[in-house]
Amino acid sequence: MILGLPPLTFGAMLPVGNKTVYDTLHTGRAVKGYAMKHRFIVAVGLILTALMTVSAQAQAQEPLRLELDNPNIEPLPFAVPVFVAETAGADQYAADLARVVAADLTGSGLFQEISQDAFISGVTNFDSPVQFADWKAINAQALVTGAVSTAGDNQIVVKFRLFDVFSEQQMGEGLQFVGSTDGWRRMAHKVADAVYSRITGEGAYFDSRVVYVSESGPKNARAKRIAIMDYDGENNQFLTTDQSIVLAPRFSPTGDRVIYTSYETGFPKIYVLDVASVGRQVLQDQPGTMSFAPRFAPDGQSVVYSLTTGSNTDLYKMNLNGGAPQQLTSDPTIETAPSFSPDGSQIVFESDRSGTQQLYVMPASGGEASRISFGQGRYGTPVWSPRGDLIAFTKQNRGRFHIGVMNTDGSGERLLTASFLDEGPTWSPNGRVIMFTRETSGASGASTLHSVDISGRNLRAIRQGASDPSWSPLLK
Amino acid sequence: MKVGTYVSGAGHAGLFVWLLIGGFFVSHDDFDAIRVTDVSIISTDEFQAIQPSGPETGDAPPAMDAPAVDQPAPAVSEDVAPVAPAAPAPVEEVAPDAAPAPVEEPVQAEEVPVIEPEQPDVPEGTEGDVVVLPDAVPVPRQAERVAPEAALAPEPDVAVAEEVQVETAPDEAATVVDEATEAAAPEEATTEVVTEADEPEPSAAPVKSARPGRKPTPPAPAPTEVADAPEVPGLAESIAGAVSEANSENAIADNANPGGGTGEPITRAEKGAFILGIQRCWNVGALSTDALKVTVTVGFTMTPDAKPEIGSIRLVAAEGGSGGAVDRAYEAARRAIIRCGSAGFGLPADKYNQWRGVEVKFNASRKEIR
Repeated sequence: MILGLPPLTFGAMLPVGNKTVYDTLHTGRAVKGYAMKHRFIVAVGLILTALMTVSAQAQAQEPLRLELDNPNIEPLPFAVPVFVAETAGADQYAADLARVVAADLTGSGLFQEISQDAFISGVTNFDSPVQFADWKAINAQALVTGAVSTAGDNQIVVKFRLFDVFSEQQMGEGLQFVGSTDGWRRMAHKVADAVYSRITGEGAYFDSRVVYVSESGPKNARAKRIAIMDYDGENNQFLTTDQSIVLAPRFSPTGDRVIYTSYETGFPKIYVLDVASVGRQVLQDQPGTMSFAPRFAPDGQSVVYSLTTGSNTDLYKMNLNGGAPQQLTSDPTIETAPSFSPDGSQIVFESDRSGTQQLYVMPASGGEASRISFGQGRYGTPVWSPRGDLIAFTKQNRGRFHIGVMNTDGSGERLLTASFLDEGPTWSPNGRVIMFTRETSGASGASTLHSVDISGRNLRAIRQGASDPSWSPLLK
Repeated sequence: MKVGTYVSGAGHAGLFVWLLIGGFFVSHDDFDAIRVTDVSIISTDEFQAIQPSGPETGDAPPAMDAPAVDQPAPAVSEDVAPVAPAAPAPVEEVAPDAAPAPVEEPVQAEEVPVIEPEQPDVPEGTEGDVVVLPDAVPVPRQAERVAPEAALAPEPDVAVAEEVQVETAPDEAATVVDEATEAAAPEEATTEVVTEADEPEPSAAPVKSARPGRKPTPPAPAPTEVADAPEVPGLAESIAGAVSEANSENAIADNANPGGGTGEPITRAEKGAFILGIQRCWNVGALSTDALKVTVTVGFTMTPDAKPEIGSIRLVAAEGGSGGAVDRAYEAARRAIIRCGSAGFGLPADKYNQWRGVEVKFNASRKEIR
C-alpha cells in the first residue's frame, strides 16, 4: 500500500509538500492523520531518491577494471651516454667506464643498450636537467648518467644517476665510488651492479670473480693450471703453474681462498690456496688415500670432500681448524661432488648406489640420504643455488650432456643447455646465472666457459681454453 | 390384442434386461484380460543371464537326461554357465584345454539334444566350436527361447558362440554403436560453430550481451557486448524503477561529466583494445624472478583524451611477493601505462565515464620465466 503511493505522491508532493494535495487525493477523510503519514512517506521517498543519486554517482566513479597476464619479456632498452669527465685526464676513464657499465648490463640479457649513434642529445654536465623527451624519442626506458674525476695518488671518483625516462624520475639515490685507477673496471662493475639491482629488484653479480682451470695444449696432453678472472673474463691471473694436473677449484664463501685438487704428488690431494698471497697448504694427506671434489661449507670453517680408501669412495667433512675428518657416508658405492645448501644444513651429492649416477640429499652431519633425481639418464655435479631454491646439475642422456636445474626436492627439472659435453655448473652470486664448461668434440676439441640465464636464455661464451669454473661471492 | 401387446412388451422387456444384465454386451474374457500384473523391464542381457538358472526347471528333461552322464562336463557347465554368460574367461580357459578329447565329447553330447536340432549345419565348426561349446553347454536349455534369435545367424556354431560371447560381442557392438551415434558430433559441431562466432570472449559474453538489450541506447553501435556491465543493481527494482523516473534529471546530470558520456557501456572490443594498448608496453624482461611472481593492481585516472594522468597512478594492491619485488613489479606496470598512454589509448570519448577511472591488474606469474 505504501509502496504503491510513492509513484503518485513523489511527483506531486515534491513541489507542493503539504496536505492540500492529500485533500485532493483523499477527500472525505481525516486529513490531518493522513498528512502526517504521507509526510513520512515523502521523507522516505526523498531519502531513497538521495540514496539512488549517490548510488548512481558511485557507479559512475567505479573504475574500469582490466587484467593483463601476457607481458612482454624483452631486454629493457637503456642508454649510457659517455660519462662526463670532470677533470683533465679523466676522459678515457669516462669513456671506458660507460662502456663497461653498458657491457655488463647488456651481457646480463636483461637489458638492451641503445647505440650512442641514436642519441639525440648527450650529457655534458652531470648536474644538468635531463632532457627526457630526447630519450623518450629513442625509447630509452632507463638512462644512466655519470661523471668521472681523477685525484692525486692515482685515484678516481665515479658518480652516477639512474633515471626512469618515461616516468621522468630518478630511480634511487645517486651513488659515488672512489678507488684506484687500476681498479676502474671494478668501479664500473659496481655501477652496473647498482643499476641492475635498482631496476630488477634482485642482487647483482658483475663485481665478482671466477676461478677456473686454464687449459692449454693438445687434448691428449693438456696442461692445466688454476686461474682467476673477473666474471666477464677480464683481469685473468694464474694461481698455479702447469707442472701438475689440477682439478675442481672452489671459492671460499668469502672469496679470499680457493680449495682445489692437485695431482702434484701423483695422487689427488686437496689444497687450500690463499688468493691474495697465493700461499697454499695441503688439507688432507692421509697415506694410501685419494681425496678430491672439495667444497667449502657456507661458514667457510669446514670442507666436505670425497675420500677414496681402497676401492670405496665416501664423503667426509673436515674442519679447517683441525680435528679428525668426519665420515658422512658409508656406502660401498661412489659418493662424490658434494655441495652444501646455503644454510649449511644439507648436502647434495652424486652417487651410483642405485646402479646409475643420481643425485641425493642428506643432512650436513651425515645420515640417511634421499634420492632427488629420477629422470632418464645420469645426473652429476650438483650445486646448490645461493638462493637455496634450486640445484644445478649436469645430466647425461642419450649421448648428450645438459646443464639443468631442479627444485631441491627434485621436482621441476629444467634443462637449460644441450651439447656434446656440458658439465660443471656454478652459480652467480645472485643465483640468476649459471656458468659451466662446454667442450667440443674431436681431437682438436677445446673447453670454453659459457654462462646461461636460469631461464635458459642468454647463452654466452665467456672464455676459451678454460674449464671447471667456480663463481665467487660478490666482492666487497 | 392387449394380451398380445402385454406379452410382446414383456418379452421385449425381458430381452432388454437380458441384454443389459445378461452380459450380451460384456465380454467375460475382457474382464479377465484386464487383470493387472506388476512387471519390470529388463535388458536381453539380463534376461539371458537369468535364463540359465531358470531353464533347469523348464524344458531341460530331455537334454538333461541324454548327455550329461559324463562326469566333468555337466557339473562344470551347470555351475559355470549361469555365471559364465557374463564372463568370457571360461571360453579362454576352455580353449587351451580343447586339445584334450575328453572335454569335447561330453560337451557335444549335451548340446546336441537341444541346440543341434535347430542347427542343421554342424559341419565346419567342429574344431574351434568344440572348444567353445563346452562353455555353452548350459545354454542349450535356454536355446529354445533363444533359438528364434539364433536362427538369424546361419551357422550353428556362430550362433552358439554369440550367445557365449553375448556379453563381449554385443557389448563391443553396443559401444561402437554408441560411439557411432555419438557421432552426433555433427550436432555438437554446429553448436560449436555457433559459439565460435563469439569466440574472442569466452565467458560471460551471453549474460552481459543480453543486458544491453534492456536499455535501448540511442546511438547503439552494432557490437554491443557489454564488457563490464555497469549493471544497475537490482536494489528494489520496483522502487528503483519508479525513483529512476523521478531521478531522470539526476541521471542526466551524472552523465554531464567532462567526457559528456551517455552512460553506454564500453564494448568488449574497446576494452580489448585498451588492454592490448597497455600490454604491448608491459615489459617484465628486466624483472627479478621474485618480482615476476608479484601481481600488482594499479589504479589511475584518465583525461578525456584517453591519456593517463601520471600523477594519479598508484598501487592499489599487490600479492605474491615482498616489498622490493612489489616495487619493481609496480614500476614496470607504471612504465607500461605511461609509455603507451602518452599517445592516448584511443577510447571513445562519449563513454568517458566508463573509463575515466581505471584499475589494471598486472599478473606476470603465468609467464614461465624460471
